[in-house]
Amino acid sequence: MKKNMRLKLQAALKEQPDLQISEEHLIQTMQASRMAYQSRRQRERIRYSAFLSRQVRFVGAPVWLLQGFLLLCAFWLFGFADIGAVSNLAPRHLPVLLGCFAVFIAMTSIPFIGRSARYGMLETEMATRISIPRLLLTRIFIIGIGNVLLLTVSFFLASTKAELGTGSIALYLLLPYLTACCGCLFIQVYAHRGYQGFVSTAFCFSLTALLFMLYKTAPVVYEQTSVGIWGVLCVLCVVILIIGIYRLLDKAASLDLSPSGI
Amino acid sequence: MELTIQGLTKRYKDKTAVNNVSLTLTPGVWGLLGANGAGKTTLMRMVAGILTPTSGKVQYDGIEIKTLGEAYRDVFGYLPQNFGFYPEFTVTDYLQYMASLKGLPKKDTNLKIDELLHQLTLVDVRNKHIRKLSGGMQRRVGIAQALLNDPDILILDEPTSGLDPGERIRFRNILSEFAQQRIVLISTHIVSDVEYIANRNAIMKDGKIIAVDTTDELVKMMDGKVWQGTIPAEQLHHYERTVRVVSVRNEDGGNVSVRYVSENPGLPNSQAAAPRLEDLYLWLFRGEEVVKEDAI
Repeated sequence: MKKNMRLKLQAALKEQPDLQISEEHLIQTMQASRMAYQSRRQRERIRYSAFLSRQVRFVGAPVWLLQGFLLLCAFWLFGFADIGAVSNLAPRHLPVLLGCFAVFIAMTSIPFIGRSARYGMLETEMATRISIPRLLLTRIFIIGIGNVLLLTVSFFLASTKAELGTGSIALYLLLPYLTACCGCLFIQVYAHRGYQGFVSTAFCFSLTALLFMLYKTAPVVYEQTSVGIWGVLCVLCVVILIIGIYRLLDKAASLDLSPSGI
Repeated sequence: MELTIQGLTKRYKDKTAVNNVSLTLTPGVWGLLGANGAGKTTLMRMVAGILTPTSGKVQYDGIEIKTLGEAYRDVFGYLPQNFGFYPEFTVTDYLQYMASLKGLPKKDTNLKIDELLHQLTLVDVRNKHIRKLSGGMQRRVGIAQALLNDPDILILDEPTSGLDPGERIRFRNILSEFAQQRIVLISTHIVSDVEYIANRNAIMKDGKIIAVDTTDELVKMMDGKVWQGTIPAEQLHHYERTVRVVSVRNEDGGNVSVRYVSENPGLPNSQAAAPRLEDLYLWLFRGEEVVKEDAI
């Protein structure tokens, strides 16, 4: 630290061409800087981990409640062998059912991502210690925990029920989920602030309809021969998702209260 | 402690909201006066660091606020003009949420919240949903969140809108007490809000600061320009077209007493009156709306 300070001071002093730099002046300047720094009011602030745990109450509680409801639905759909809905359906229905359910899992994030702007909290939140990108990441992380749990439970429940391979079940869940996430993220970045929730919901319902339509009109999509394509698309979606998150955070960092954005 | 605004400009596509504003804010209460659309909120947002200026900079004790980052936000409190909240939040929830965003340790948070709830007389509603509170109470909750981190710089954009006269006086007193050794900048178009508590005022018009001085010095600019005269009530309409009327009071015998601003006496038997900040505001913002305390 001391060395850094000395280097910075030397660099700053060198920018003044008429100034004679002496060791004595440097030491005096450092002492004066240190005194000025120490005379400032010391404020204790929490670490990010403490902030994250405190956000669970405000963000986690409502979103996990919603995700808990979906978890019950997962048990109902895939869980109970004799009384479950799937057991009454032919196994060929399972891929489309998994896909639609995955889209609903992704939809749980919609009410919580853009709510700062929706409820006029953005300006107040922007003026605090935690930056908006960090706040968004925290929300995405908390929502993500629930989503991962839901996907995992659905995966295991479906694995016990279906004769499909575990890899196929994972893909039938992941691709629609990732597609829905990508779409919602890009809508969040580019759509007008007042319509983001509506457009995202419409997109997810359209995606569900598309999955169902493909199942009806082109069942080959859900056959084992197409699994490879699902895999490639999944990787592509992961890349797009990373770009989407990056764009969202980038947008949040330079927000300037524009009508489009978070 | 010093907050320096240097050549701050904000341009939008077809409008310059803030035009090359320079101002040095020192501890005390500063009033930022201006009509709606004068650029006050844009200036405040740039000072708050939530709006990037087109050009110019804001420095806190010689260091640009962008460089200071979190360190600046640690010492900064802000109440925006449009105060929002999540519908499920009670008053305490909201303050605890904001405290976490401001990085306050848990042990300090509850103490500070209790202190502010008492100060702002919100104790009785601490567990009520904010959405169920009156506009004035919601505003007080907003003021409480701005004070949570005990800021050195406090920026309040239209803090008294929605407050009743009693609340407004209480707010002024809290602020006067709070402003010791701190920089408090209040933006308002309600002149009486800052007249009694602001040490200095900056007056903004069309994106520019057109006057900066103490209230007394600013008021002196109006010496010899404020008049009071009594006329029959039916002539009021006629004189309203020739002089800038500040206030009208009904008198006995169908007469009205008119206070107005003008270079020369415009009403018969006019006498010079002691100027107030409101007179200067009206003088500077001729043709623009004036909001009087009584009208709120």
